Amino acid sequence: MSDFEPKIITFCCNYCSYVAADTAGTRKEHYPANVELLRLPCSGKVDILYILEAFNKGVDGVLVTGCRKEQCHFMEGNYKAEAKVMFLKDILDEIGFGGNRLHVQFMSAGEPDEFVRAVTDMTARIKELGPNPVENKK
Amino acid sequence: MSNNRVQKSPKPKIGVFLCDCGNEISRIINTQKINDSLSKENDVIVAEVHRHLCDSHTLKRLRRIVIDNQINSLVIGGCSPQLHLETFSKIFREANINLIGLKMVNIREHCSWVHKDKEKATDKAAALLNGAINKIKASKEIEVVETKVKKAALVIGAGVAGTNAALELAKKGIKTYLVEKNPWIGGVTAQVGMAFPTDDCAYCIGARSERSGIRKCFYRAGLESYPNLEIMTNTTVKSVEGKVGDFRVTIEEYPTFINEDCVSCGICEEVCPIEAPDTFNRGLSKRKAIYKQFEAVPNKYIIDFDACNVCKKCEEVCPEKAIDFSQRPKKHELEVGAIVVATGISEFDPSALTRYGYKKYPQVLTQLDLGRYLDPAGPTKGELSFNDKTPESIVMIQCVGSREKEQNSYCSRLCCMMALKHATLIKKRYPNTKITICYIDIRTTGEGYEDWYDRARDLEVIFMHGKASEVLEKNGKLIVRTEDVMLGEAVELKTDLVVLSAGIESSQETREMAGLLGLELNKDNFIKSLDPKVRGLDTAKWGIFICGGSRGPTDIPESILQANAASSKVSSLLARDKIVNTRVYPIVDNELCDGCEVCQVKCGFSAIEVDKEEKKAKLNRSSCHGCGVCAANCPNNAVQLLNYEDEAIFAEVEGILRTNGDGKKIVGFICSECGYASSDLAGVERFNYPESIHFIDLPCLGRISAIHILKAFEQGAAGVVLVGCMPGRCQYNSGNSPKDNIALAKEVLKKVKLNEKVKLYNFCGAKSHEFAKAMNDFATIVASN
Amino acid sequence: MRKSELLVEVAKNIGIKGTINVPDGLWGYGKIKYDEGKCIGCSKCEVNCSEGAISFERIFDLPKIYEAEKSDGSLKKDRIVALIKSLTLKKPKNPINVPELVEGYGNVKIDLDKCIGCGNCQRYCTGKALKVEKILEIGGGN
Repeated sequence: MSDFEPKIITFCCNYCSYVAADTAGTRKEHYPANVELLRLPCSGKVDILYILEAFNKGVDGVLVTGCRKEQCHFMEGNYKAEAKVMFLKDILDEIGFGGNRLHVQFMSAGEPDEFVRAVTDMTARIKELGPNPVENKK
Repeated sequence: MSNNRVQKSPKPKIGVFLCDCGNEISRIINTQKINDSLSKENDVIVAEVHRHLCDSHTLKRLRRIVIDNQINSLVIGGCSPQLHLETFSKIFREANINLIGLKMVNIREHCSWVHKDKEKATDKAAALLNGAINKIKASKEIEVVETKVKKAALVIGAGVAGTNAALELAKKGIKTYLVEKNPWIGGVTAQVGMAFPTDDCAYCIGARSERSGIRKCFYRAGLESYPNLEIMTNTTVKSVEGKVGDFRVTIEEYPTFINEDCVSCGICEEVCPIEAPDTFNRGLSKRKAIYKQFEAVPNKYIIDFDACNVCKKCEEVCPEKAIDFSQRPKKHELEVGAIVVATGISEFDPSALTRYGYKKYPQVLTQLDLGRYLDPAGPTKGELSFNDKTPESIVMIQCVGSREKEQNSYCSRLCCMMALKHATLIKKRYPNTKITICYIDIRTTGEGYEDWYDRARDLEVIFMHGKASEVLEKNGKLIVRTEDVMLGEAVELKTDLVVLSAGIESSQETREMAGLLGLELNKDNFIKSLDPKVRGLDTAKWGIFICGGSRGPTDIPESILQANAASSKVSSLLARDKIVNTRVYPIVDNELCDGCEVCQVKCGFSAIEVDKEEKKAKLNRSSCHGCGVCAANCPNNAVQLLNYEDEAIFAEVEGILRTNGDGKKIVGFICSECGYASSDLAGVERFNYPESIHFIDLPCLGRISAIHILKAFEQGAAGVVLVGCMPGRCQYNSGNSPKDNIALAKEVLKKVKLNEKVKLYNFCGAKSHEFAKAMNDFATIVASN
Repeated sequence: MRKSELLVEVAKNIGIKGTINVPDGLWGYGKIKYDEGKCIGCSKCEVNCSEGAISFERIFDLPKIYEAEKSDGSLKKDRIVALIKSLTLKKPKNPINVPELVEGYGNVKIDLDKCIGCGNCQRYCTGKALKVEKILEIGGGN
């Protein structure tokens, strides 16, 4: 499986995690090219529908990132994001797709290393898990 | 207020007084015989028969007996309560005697005048009195609410209607607050330039009589220094609480950034570097960020803070040091006894109808735009010229956004006259300009209005019957596609200028104010009057009145008429020291109420609403008219109409049916308005109907629930007849409630084939012959099989 | 006594049996009916039920969605259900608890004994999933 290069969607919030990714770029830090960023106004905007739609289109993993707890710019958007991710993880586990293809990570804007670590870990995790099982089946 | 206060009454001590009415009653009814049997009833202390109860000696004697015997409830058998209830109430009120119950039983119009069989009529009268005695035992005292009247009024909106209303109120010596959202008063009227039917400028106002002349321009009328009148411009109403006689209003005054010292010298305007669209000229010209409207009242400059860049050049040059950038919004509280809403109209925006090309072609205007062009204070100083050319031909299109189902289905009433006014004005000044008016109907209904039509024809304005369909541009000229109905063919008119007679709509402020005050809008989106015929200036909220454009498209003369009428309504209300509310009202039992909101849905006056926090229904007594539709529809029976509780109605039914030997008695529920009036008139006209029909009066048939009808059958009634007002003319807005409840009772009774023996009749008060015929027909239906 | 109970009692005294159709404009007679397919899980009904007859269960009944009839797919939840189905590798057995902050998933449970048919839930229902069935049972056969 070593030649498997997973496709990972990362949802970023407009405030912290996207800025963290930016700062990582400014610092010229390296992270896997498997990750595609998708910017949302707030991590709370992440919808179960978006994630399911992504998996259905053959994405191998979804990472949701947002501001640190208590630091959401919209009061409790990141808590909502986390709740939705946990809920969907349960569903994905129950239907055998595997909830561990979905992950949520919070960081502040000044933590580019946290961002790099999150996406690197995510890539490693998905590499381990292999390609999207449904996509394989099709 | 009256929640959870189910009054306990002392032990009833009943006096029964029967009237022979000369011999109008005793001719048919054996009053003495009834009196003998009633005097043996429980709780009846005194029972007497009199020749005339309503003469002054007997009235005094009646009062004496009541005092001596400590009687607390009175049943009077005589004529219609609609005739004499007040006569009896008055003698006790004057002597400060509080009776718990006073009920008149109509044994004249409902018995002796409509029946011939003496024995049967006597039985019926006795049964009705039995019912009344039964009911009065359940009576409770009405809690009288007294409100001390605040001798001040608030007028919202300072257009032609609001300004006139406020002025008239101030003249009457009432402290009046005139609140206007814009920086200056005048409203749409200040913008229209010349006015019909008088062909002079629009902003005349009735002047103070001690001054010379019969009218003045509003900016010359000395409004700012008028006694009792306080003009508050640049101010909006934020909240209104309280009730008739005692409203507490919060208003917010926005900063003008100019203080009292401004003398309107205009130096600031010269140095201001910012230009913004001139809203007074409907955006057709520019003005500075610091500016003043043409003929402004109050005569002060203002800074348009949206446009201003705070360069403070004005502050440097102002010789009076009148510019103050530190101003902030200020909130004030007003206490007033009554409110007049005069928030006015706005013109329909024809850009929604793309086919007419408004805002697409600069030479397509509305009538109000044209009014600005023709006004000396307008964008072209009154010259009708575009790119230095006076149009050689003008086409006016009528009914744009009026009388169209997709936009507004009503006739806007003003646009025909505006078109005639402008056409005449232009023809007089530019005789060579060709003017064509494309119309469906020309409506000129007002004093001197038709003359304008004749004048326009004399000036050779062309009237083309047909609705224009489209405005196009071809080779720099506008083309109007229309139909000439006379010739029966489609035509294309080449023209330099198109003027759309756009319809009139309620202004945004009118709709917002309706929401803030809890007033309903009518189907045309104007504020709904309490009654379209007789209470046109009242609203469902007692103490809040409407006039001018807030209640419909209104021209200047009519706005002023309505304003004067509204001010008179307010002053007659504020002339009282206190407002005493003695209407019957519903009582909410908090133990039973769950806050399901059915009462709120059914109430036609938004008088009962569920408190979201407490989850209990709360009554606003000053809005309540006492119909009982809430009580009739409460699923938990938590709401009961005072003195018309289920128990009281059941008791009256039971009393009437107690002597129902032959099982032929019919119970009639009758509303106290048109239903009762038609029955009274049937008596006056001596129309006969069967003795089997016994009426129970209710404030409104909306009080009836299916159970009351079923209860009558349970007690052995042969039929139930209901008589109420004409559909849509219910005096309590109770809507379909009685109809639905009757339908439910019929559905239930269908199972035992009794559904035909329930019938609802609707009459207006004058239809006595129809009433009598219906009673005869119904008795026949009930008697069959 | 509730109005409907009083009516049933009086009707019985007159000798009436069976089921009565209640006119549309009247509230307080009949019971609520729930159309799950139209429910968008807003839980407004629970908040606005004055009788405490409606409870909104924060449970996403995963196994059940495979049994439901095919919907017209107009609601967002229909799209989500379709996506879940297409991602399914093994048939789920357990319902999933819906976390507190997640809106739009769950089931309406109605306690018909408590329902008085006032129609408040119907008036507040965003998805038109709740409707009072305008039928009154008097009982005792036809």
